[in-house]
Amino acid sequence: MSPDDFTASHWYAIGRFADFPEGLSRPLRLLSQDIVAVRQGKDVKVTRADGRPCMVQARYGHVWTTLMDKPRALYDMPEFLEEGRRLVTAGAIGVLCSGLRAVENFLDMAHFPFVHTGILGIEEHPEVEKYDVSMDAERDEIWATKCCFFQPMAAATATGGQITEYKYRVPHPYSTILYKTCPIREGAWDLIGLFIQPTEEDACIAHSFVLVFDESNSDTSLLHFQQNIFLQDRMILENQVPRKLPIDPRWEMPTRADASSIAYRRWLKANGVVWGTAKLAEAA
Amino acid sequence: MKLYDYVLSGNCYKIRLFMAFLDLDYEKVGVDFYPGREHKSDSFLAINPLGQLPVLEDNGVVIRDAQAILVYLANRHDPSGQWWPQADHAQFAQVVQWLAFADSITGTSSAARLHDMLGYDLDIVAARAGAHRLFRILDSHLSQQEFEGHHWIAGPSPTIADIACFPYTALAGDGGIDTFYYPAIQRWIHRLTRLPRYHNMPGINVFA
Amino acid sequence: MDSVVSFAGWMPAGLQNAAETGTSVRAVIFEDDIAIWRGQDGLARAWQNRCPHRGMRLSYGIVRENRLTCLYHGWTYDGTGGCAHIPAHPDLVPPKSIRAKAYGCVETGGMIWVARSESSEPPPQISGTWMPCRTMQVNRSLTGLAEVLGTGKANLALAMGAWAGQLRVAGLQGAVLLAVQPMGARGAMLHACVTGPEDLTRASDWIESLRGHLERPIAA
Ligand SMILES: N[C@@H](CCC(=O)N[C@@H](CS)C(=O)NCC(=O)O)C(=O)O
Ligand code: FES
Ligand SMILES: [Fe+2]
Repeated sequence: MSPDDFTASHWYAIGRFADFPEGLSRPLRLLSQDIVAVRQGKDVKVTRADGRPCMVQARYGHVWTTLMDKPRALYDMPEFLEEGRRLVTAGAIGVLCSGLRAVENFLDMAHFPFVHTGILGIEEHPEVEKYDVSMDAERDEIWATKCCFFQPMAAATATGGQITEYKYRVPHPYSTILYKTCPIREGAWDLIGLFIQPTEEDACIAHSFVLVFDESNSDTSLLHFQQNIFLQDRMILENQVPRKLPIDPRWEMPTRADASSIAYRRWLKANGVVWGTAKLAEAA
Repeated sequence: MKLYDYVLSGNCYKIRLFMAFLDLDYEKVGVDFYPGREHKSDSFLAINPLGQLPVLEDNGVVIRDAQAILVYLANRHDPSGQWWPQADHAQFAQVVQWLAFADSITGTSSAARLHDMLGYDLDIVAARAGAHRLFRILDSHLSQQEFEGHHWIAGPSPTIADIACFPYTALAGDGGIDTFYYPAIQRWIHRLTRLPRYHNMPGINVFA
Repeated sequence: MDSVVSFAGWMPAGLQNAAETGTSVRAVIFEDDIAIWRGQDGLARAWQNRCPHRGMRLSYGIVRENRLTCLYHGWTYDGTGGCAHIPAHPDLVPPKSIRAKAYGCVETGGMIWVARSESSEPPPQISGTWMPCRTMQVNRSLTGLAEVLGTGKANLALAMGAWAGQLRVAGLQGAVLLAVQPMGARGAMLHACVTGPEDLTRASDWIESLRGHLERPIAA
């Protein structure tokens, strides 16, 4: 199946600049299509199977491309311009599920005590308090705010349990960013984000980053922390049935804690997203 | 002691797990294996010319290879002798045999995982088929052990052979290898995760 | 055997010891993905391997007492499949409509048998006491198996009525109960039980060689 218009109209991260060594052609998949990326000096050139070039831009520590001639603008993340933040990119991790499932998992706090036990949650504090979900109509994106959760070790810098406050942003069907109270800087937010490269309807590559105020941890310890968490999620994501995301509300049963997932599924549906989703007929 | 460590490495996990069982203190030196390929940097090659993890440093002794490190830790820090029984020659050889087998599991199951998870360019069909061939042998062996009332690879109690074979068997699912084909392996994984002081790594369902 | 190509009636899903007390395991029968788990009460249950919440495989679940907790968000189901607890909302009484889909599940002949809930067939009854020996995955489709078994070389075709049958194997004191669990593209599981511990090793060797025979290329 070829991607619906909304899915096709976006920019997608395909790796970090360093992942494209000079002169080496790298065959890649994007939206069920073959593309080839190669570094030429300061640029990465991307071409389709038939040789036509794709547009490319470098942003947020990653190389982005699109299969459209007139794509939507890539969303803004002004935090990347703020002084004093450190960017750590965690590399590309393959996951056998729809990238939409990966985004949804990222928006979800209720799994912390069970999947990230002892780090992002503990079973003794599983409660998800009511939080706000809103649509930013102008930018056509979803925000979940006032998300509070008890965490024993919220970040590599954390020293003990605390209620952590989060905000989540979904500016793109395959991108999500979380803002989390910074444990060392009053009033500041640390960012953790996921740029999904959907390779097939039911397979994807997750590119992720952290953009934090942190003076005590090395890049490597931030990297290990991040990869540890993501690999815990990967085991879940590869064992959700079906691999594609069911967006019909009659299929999987949400509760109030899933408010952001509900909003995300609705938003996908309203934008006509079909590629990467499971049809109710497949439910049996 | 200093362990050069990567959080997603099953071979490093062998050492972290054994350190936990022996209740030992050690320092971890994090290596950016992926995406940074720090294990192939000049400074790391000076520590291990093979460019592989794990490496253990203890009082000026530098040991590479997970199995060699397990042997070292067992000899040096397990006064009970449980983890590497040496009195019985046959059992001693059994342990060594399964330590070597563990490295073959790395060559197949871990390779499949590197392919699926980190995008390594290798023959995935061959890697998975090779892992299944080994898991059939391990499942058969563990079944035979159960017939004799034993629950571990090399005798009545767990040894470093169990630790060496455990990570890339339990992590096989990460590389698209189904382990529900092997019920005796499943039971063994379950038993191992229930040992006192067991320490988990992501990709292994500790509740299984 | 080759006439049956989909889930029908009661199907073997594993040896009894595949699901030990306090564990949940995965079984595949044709296209059906099933979680089998055993509570502290010793009862085995078989459910569709999909949590009603967000689809997580319940074979990854946590068994506590006689309830199964999903690994993803901890939704907890009682022994009959009804959702009893949602940790994110500790005070909420889960609606009765949230249920894991159960299969029929019985144990006989040393094996676990499952049937789709709509099936009205009576469960199989296998007389005698049988001891679990080995389960082995074989890379052979059902038609392939039938072809080889039907050649008489393995001398099985006669003994296999439905999915299981008893056979005599040279060198064993008692009989072997052999069952076939088809797994579609994944081939099949062969399950073998014996009548006593003295036959375990030999029966295990025998079924290994049977697998070798079954996996040999079929001459055109
Ligand atoms: N025989 C070695 C194999 C170690 C190994 O394969 N380590 C992986 C990480 S888990 C590695 O460093 N691979 C890099 C390479 O082999 O180039 C051992 O058991 O320690
Ligand atoms: S998927 Fe099972 S509890 Fe959420
Ligand atoms: Fe997570």
